[in-house]
Amino acid sequence: MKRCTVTEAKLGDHLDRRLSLEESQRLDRHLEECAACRGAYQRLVALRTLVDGLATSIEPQRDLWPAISARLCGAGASHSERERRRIRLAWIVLSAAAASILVALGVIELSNRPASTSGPAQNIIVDGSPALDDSLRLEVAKAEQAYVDAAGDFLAHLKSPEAALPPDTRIVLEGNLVIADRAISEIKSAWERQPSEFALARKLLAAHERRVELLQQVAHLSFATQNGG
Amino acid sequence: MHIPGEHGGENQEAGAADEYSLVICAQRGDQAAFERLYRNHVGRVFALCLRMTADRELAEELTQSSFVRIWEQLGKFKRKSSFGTWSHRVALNVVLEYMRSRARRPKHTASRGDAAIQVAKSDSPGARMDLEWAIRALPERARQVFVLYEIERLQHNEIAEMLGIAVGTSKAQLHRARQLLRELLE
Amino acid sequence: MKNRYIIFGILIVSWSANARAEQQVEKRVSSNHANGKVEIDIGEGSIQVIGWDKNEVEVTGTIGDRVERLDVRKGKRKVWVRAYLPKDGEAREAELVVYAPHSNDIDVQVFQGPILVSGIEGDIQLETFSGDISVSGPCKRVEAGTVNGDITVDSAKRSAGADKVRAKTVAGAIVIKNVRREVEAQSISGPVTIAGNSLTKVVAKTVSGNVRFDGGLSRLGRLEIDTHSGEFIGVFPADLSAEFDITSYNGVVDNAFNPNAGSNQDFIQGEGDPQAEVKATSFSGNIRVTKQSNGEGATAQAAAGQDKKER
Repeated sequence: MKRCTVTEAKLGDHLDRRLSLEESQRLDRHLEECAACRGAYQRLVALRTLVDGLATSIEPQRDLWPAISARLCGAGASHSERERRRIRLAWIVLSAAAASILVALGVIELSNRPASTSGPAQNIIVDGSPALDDSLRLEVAKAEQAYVDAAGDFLAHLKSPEAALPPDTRIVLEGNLVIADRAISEIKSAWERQPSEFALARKLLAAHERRVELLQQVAHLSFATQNGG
Repeated sequence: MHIPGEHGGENQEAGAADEYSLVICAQRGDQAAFERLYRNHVGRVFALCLRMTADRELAEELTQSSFVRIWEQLGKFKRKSSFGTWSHRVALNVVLEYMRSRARRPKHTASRGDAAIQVAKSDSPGARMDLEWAIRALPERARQVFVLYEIERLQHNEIAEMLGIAVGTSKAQLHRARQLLRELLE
Repeated sequence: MKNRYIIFGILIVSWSANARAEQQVEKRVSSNHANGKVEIDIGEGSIQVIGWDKNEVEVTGTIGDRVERLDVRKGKRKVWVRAYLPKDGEAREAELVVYAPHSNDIDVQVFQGPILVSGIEGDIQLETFSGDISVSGPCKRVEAGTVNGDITVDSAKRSAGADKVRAKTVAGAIVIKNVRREVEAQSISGPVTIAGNSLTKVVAKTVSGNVRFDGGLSRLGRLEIDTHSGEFIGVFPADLSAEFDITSYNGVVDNAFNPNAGSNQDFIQGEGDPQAEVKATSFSGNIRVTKQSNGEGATAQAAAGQDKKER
């Protein structure tokens, strides 16, 4: 079988699309005619296919983390203690927020039950016991604080240069934060005027939730769309 | 969003939001967060080290060094690429630095030539495993160029710069690697 | 509807004109899996994904002159399309049309720019920081998120429609039509319009954005609306059977099923034992519930375009 040494060296370039259009067409014509080159080219293509199918990840046979962790203790001087204290991971805070909010909502739920289905605790609620009102307010305040903390972390990130928000998005974000803040403040005032209206407490927490979700969404998109997720 | 190996393969599809939180946390010194990043990405870094060195122990050593370097340089990560891409690039630099430093010293391992090739031919359970073995069996320079070009998708000029060789040499080594692999896999 | 796509097309063209896109690209890879996934990730620009009958993915369009390369790679079950960052880390621009097997799942992330998907039957996940998102066709599930842009999802009328749609925007309008089961929509200031019949779950939450629901619920369906100052308009079948719980603290409640009953209404509408629920609360927004006129239910989408214009 005739060996086409001239084109053999170019098969790789053809595979990598490094040939000019003219050269590429010439080689395509040659491949149609020359079985040896065609075979060689097909093997190259098959090799590329195999490479594409290679695992992108190979796990080491032993856990390397303990050794790395030990070495990190001597490294990492760049992370300041102040920053370390300041760190509050948004998702950890959000978990805390979720827990506080569940407690608060649970209390509100209890407070909304009619007296006819009551046990002792609910009787107290329906009676409007000041102790329980205080406890409810405390739970709602805790839940609010958890939301405020979570929002603060997202806000700190979004205000940093690394978030790289486009100017129009920043304007949209700021405008909508004003809307969310106004909503919180309106509901809060209403609840202060009608402290026995527990449904307003639920509304208040829902407004906080919207605000955090707004920030969370912007932070998520800022990360996902700028970094390929 | 994942590209091949972006998060260590399809089985490790850590959410972008989680990763975002972890990176911020790790940048501020949280080792637990960094451990999670390590767990998400170690497979891809180790695969790079193993394919470049063809030596499991050395690959483990370089993987460790890579993650220490990643930790040290976290402050420089500005999130203009994904953490996976950035950390992979740091690991690649660690591997290349090692290769360059070793090139200046007497080599501590024998060249893996024909003996390894025989292993590849006889011990291969499947086509892809064959390929892994065959890549490891390649002569060192051909293997490095092949891995950087075909798997890491770098261009010849980048490879030439990284390995300190001419662009033509990079192309020639790639051609040689392909020829050898074709022979090995036939 | 047609007009919206024309406008969208113009947007894409004008975006293309403004971008520094220089290089033409055309790449094609075969897709081994009819039920595979196509993941697309670019920076600035536009993406149009079109489902087709071929078992391959084709990418055409332009990429910015500073983009290092556009990679189209095939994995076991996925095809990745990604514009790579240039060395100086500047933005990646690309204006791409991606043809994908119609049964594939689609995942697109764009930093700034619109995303348009049509003719895809799998799961669709779309994210853009700043840009409109539009999905049409018989998709299975849709998740769409944008900060500053509209989201429109319209499943094909001839098919069963999407099972589930989740849409989140901050300031844009959300319009969702022809969904079969579940809809979740969230916006701060943008209006939300949902239309569909026999839905099992509808949740819409806004702060100042108006919400309009036009359609029916399944027997066990649940509709939950929460606004702060946004108005809610619900248009239901006249023979609706459901438990209502609607409240506006400072707004007006006008309910055709329960006229002159005040701003806090908790009642059962219809005969028998209704298990569908309609729950709407607003702090200061008005709530208006009306009955569909004859034949209105099947084509309840008429209002959808209207709401967008009202923004």
